[in-house]
Amino acid sequence: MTMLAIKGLCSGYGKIDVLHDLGLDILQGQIITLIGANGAGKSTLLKTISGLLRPTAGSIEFEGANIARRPPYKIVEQGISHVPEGRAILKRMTVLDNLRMGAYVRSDSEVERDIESVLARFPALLERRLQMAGTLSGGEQQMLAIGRALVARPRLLLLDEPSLGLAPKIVTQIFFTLRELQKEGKTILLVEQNARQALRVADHGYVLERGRIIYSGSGQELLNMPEVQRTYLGQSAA
Amino acid sequence: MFNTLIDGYTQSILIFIGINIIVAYSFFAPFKTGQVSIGQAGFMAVGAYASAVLTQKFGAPFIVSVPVAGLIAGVVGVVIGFPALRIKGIYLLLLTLGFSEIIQVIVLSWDYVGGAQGYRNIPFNRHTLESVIVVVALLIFFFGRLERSSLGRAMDSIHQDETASEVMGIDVVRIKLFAFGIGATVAGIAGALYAHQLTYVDSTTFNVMMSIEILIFVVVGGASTYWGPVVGAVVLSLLPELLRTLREWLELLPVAWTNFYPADKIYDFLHGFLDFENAKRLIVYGIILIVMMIVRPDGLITRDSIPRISLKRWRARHA
Amino acid sequence: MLERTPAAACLAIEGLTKRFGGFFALDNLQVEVAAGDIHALIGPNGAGKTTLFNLITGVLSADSGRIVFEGQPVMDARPSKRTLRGIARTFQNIRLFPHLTVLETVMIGEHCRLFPSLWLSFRAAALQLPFGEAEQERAMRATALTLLEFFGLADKRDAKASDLPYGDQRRLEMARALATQPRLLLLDEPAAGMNPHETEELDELITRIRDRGVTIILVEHDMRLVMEISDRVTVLNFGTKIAEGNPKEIQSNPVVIEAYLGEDVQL
Repeated sequence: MTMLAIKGLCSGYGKIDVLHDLGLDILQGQIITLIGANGAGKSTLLKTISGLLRPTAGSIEFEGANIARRPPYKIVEQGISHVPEGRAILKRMTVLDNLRMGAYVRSDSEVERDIESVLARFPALLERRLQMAGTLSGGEQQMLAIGRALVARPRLLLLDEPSLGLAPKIVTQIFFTLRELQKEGKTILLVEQNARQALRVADHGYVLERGRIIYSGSGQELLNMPEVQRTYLGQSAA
Repeated sequence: MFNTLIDGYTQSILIFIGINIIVAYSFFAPFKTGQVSIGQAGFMAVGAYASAVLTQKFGAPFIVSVPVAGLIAGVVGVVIGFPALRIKGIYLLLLTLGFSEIIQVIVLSWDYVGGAQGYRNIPFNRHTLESVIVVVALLIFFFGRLERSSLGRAMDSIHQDETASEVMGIDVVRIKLFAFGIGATVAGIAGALYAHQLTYVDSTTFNVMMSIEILIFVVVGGASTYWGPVVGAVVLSLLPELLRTLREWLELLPVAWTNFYPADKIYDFLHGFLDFENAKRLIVYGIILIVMMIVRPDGLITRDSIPRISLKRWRARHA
Repeated sequence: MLERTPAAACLAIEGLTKRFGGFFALDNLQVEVAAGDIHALIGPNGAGKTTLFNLITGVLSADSGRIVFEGQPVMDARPSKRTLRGIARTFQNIRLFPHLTVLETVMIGEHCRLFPSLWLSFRAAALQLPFGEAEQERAMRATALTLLEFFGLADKRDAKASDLPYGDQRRLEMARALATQPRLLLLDEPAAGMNPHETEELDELITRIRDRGVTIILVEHDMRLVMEISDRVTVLNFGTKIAEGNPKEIQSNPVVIEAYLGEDVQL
């Protein structure tokens, strides 16, 4: 089942379009990885999907409904959670309060239980649940950001560079967590500079260059493509 | 009601303090979302003139005119709030400042509300003190509830990081407008009450200095919790009285002690300095502000200063 | 390749301790960086790496211990003085001046060398004729251009710093740091946000900087880069050194794998 269908998308900042006539499909339950050079438009794409940016043309259909010009909070209500680059957590609030804010759009009684399951998934957060989020290490902040997004019970998770600035051990943990989330039924759209690991964990991948998709294929196919290896993976490709 | 219990002078001081608390909250509301407004005096003016017109020219009772005046100010606030959404920092300050100035010019040139001569013969409200007390109590209750509510936390998170708040599903636009509108409404109510106490307002009454004083109340009192505006307003309002008392004590010194140089020069200086009219008030505020920013920049009252009184915890400790 | 004189320590950190309240960001740290080395500093987030950089550059002051640069202690010097002594750094989250051009950014780096005191810079500004360029300005411009060529940014000299793509911004930051003529360069996560191919280009750039005679201390999470170009690696955790050695030793050190690398790492 197609969860997200993007057609002819143009979007950018002010008068300058960064994305040009972009189209892609995400099937339910997949992990999709987006790689590309800086400035290629990966973050722009995520921001346009989550409503932080308005597209100038094109359509974005989520589970059949066109969400292209809706305000961000409505898109969160639809079931899409975005973890922006740099995490966007509330540094002057505690870990627990951050998680509660993540559930802002929910009014049902299961919120506490979901918060507890996030804390169980990330024991480091459980330990620091009353600490100010700004005092957490980079890896812990990333886990908090993902946990915060999860509490909204999204069906689609947008992650912008989750491995940025993190120790190798933590990066492995994060990718492991993504695999687990997939098993639990979540669909994940992942933007990553750590191209190798991101393609390894993906079902399907897209390569973005200057606002357009130039390659598309399964994670393994892209890993083996010489053009991709040359431009993005470097000499020591696995 | 209080007219028999408290003399007129003390009453007017209490009213003065009360109105200052109300305007402090009018700054506090938009500030909770990160919007700094130095135009609250402008909203006071809208409320003041609206209520004056409603009572004097349409015969409305105070109990109707004051809230309606507040609502009118609130509507104006939401209108100004729209352009304010996209503007940050110093540019927002300029927008709110500009708004305040525009109101003053309108009032100055509109003869219906007195024009250059000002608005005279505004009906006097004998129950201003009661009204002020009621409004202050309501505000403390309302902002106390707000602080502990999800909406209050949402406002704090908007203040900290608007993008993060957006991706959490918080309707940043609506909440910012709401905060701005509440601030304007509260300022309008304060302005209305003020007008019915002074019975005369003109285009110079609600000036920029007043807006800045309002800001200082909240900054000194502490902007992170709902008791801050109260403490700031009370402390800074009582300051003139405190200084005047000091001056009176100074005058009690025997003349012989201060007849000679340099004591007489020091006496003259202190005596003049403590002569607390409008102009000197700002000097003292300025000094207080500088000292506060160095010693305690978060304000007098912060979240930790308030003991968390909770029945459950008391029971747990004394069980 | 430069020849390494065994005993030449560029930077010596002796018993350095820094506390934030009850929390020990650095605990009695002892590290020696040899002149001409590329010395990597790795460790989990919160291990104290950025704090160490801040202490070396003078942004923070230590609670106890010494930092000795080229045989002289630097503890009392303000950050700007330390730059004059020859210590420069780049930042993890690029801190460029958004509205200056590429050329102007590098020229700012030169300022401190040409005008070590306020009086000198004021005099130069005051004595400048209304039209035309002073001799000094022209020289600064020329030096800046040479540096830009080294970094491959010469053709973008008039572009605004904020308009540059990310990789170029990182290189501009390094160019600016190099314009201060340092003998020690602290690079804070230079590969952050770069894909593997871009990081490989960084290998060469950093090595060439070292070959100009600059000692480099590198904080990085990209293990391939670290292992490829470092002469020596120090591993920090919880503010103390848990391992030190050449890249091969560190890679196979079980303590390091447990604390930082994890089992799954493929390089």
